[in-house]
Amino acid sequence: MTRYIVRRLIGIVPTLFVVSLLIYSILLAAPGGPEQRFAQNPKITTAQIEAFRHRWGLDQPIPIQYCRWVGFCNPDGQGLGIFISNHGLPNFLPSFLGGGENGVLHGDLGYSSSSGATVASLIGARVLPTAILAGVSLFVWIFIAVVTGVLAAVRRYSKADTAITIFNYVGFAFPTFWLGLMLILIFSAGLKILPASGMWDARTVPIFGSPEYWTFFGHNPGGALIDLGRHLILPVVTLVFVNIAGDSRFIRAAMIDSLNQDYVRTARAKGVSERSVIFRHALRNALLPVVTNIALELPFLFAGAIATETIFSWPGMGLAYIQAVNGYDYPVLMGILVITAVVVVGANLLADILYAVVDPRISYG
Amino acid sequence: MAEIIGPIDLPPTGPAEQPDYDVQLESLNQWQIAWRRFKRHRMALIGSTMFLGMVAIGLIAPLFFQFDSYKVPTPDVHVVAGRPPSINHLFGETGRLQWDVLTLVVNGIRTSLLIGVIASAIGAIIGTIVGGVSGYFGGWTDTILMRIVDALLALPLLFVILVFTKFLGSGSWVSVTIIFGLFGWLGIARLVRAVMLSLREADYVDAARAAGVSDRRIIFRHLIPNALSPIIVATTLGVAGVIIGEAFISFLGFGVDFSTPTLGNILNGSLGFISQGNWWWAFFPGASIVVIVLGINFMGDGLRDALDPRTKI
Repeated sequence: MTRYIVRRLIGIVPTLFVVSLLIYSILLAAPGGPEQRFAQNPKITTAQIEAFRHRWGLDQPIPIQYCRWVGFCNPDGQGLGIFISNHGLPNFLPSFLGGGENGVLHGDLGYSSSSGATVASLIGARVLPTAILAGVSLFVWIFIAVVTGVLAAVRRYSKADTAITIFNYVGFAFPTFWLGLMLILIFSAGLKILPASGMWDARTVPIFGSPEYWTFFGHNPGGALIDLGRHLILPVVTLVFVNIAGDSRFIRAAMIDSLNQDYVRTARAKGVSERSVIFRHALRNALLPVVTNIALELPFLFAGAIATETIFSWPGMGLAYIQAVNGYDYPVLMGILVITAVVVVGANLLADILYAVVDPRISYG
Repeated sequence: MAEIIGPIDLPPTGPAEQPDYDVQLESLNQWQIAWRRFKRHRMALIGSTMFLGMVAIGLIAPLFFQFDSYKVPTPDVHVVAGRPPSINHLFGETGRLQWDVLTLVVNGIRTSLLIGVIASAIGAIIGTIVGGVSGYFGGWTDTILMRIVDALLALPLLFVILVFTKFLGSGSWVSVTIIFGLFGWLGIARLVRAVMLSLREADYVDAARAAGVSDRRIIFRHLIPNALSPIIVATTLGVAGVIIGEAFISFLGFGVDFSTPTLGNILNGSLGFISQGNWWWAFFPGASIVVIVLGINFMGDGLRDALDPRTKI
């Protein structure tokens, strides 16, 4: 088992390497460069632009720029010394072991070209809102998917099964952003019972994540949570409705498969109650493939989150990404892609390991 | 297998004898059987009707409702939010410039369908080639190609496509289509590779080889027809994915520009007018997407069942 995990960990290195090349090539494909923002400024001389390019290493060959961005090369090094950190050790080692401090490997994602703040701090402020939205959605959607999937499998070809199937098909056909528009249309513009955008009520609640917000939260946790919940309802419904179909169908298929197994017949023959057969014998085994499936859906949750966050102005990573693309803010854009890729690869690895842990039938040498 | 004459002496074929039972036998090929099964699939028929109906609208209606982005209607300043559906404007008018929503929608259906079908076809061709090469040659070619696929799958594709359409698409529907095609082959490549790998070991391929059938005949008679069904299903369902993806990107203003209406870019700006009571602008284009996508999904599932002889219909 340990050997399997180690082998898988080594296996993700080439994947992440190719991912980093892809992300870097996006920067190369992008029009203009970081110095592009000086193009319209008559007071900036060519010499100043040259100095800017030299300061940020933009005059270096592209492989060296890439190498510095990843963190294998030391920007202060010369010749072959670029691979050696200022402490005289290989630059790719973690900083506390004497490695360098620059590059993605050391958590340095650069500076936003529009605000000047570090990318890490900009993204850091967006992680919690996205985590709240995605976490709540994932929880609700798995719960509903399991309930509908099991119901459809147990009452196969019944009216309930048909209704769930139709519901799934319709949900699957809805573009996320359009569903968001329609929900705003009905519940905010029409019925005026839920807020159309944002994460907090700007008139009564301080900016989310600011120290004032947490003070407010400390004084009035109930009010803050209700406010957050009211803003969460529409985005969560959007994400859940669109994403539920795949898992619900998947659980139905896994459950039908599971109900046809010999051990279920054995359990029934022993006189185990139907409830226990369904939940303790069949569902437990049907959930095994679901674990993997959910991990593989993480990229879709992220992608769905950009549509949802844009429509509802939810201040998360998806909205930050759209704003970065709009403002040609490459460092932020690449930073979000790097983090997403690491999360996705990590989740896939976790899914495989979990699968191996929970299913004793699978042996890994 | 009539053309393979083995060592067994076949009985001489004389004049056809009249059978004494009243049964008509007809031989059907794979596609004729699939078509029969497809016709019996109720969902598939509903789906095809929806999809083909939208295709017909996309082909015919733009002839009657021509769109010219240079002929801006003269907006009435007293109704900035646009007028609701009426006899003259069945789907109402947009806010701001007060375009006729029906004109936008029928033209949008045409472009969105074109983008969806062409991009999926490009993706299917690239995917089949990559997957086929990967599965057939194996070894290092396979390892490198599959690493690239893994890496691309580690990024939400919509994020990447969004950047490319914004930076390289320059608002033309052709370049947006090509970008979607160039990123749309991953799933099909994996599928074709898996089919190739499993078919290489299949008993009937072994049997064909043992009977002395040539490699070329194995590829064209056994491997490709068997890989074709999943490719057709995945490509059909892929059309829906491209239509939704393009709609979102163009809705954000990063994809096709307004000179060519698509079901996404005509929604750009509609969010701001919802609070002023303009529901028709946001509703009709999106509802058209839902009808198209629902039709395609039903049709794709029907095709899957029809092409797979193991499922009962």
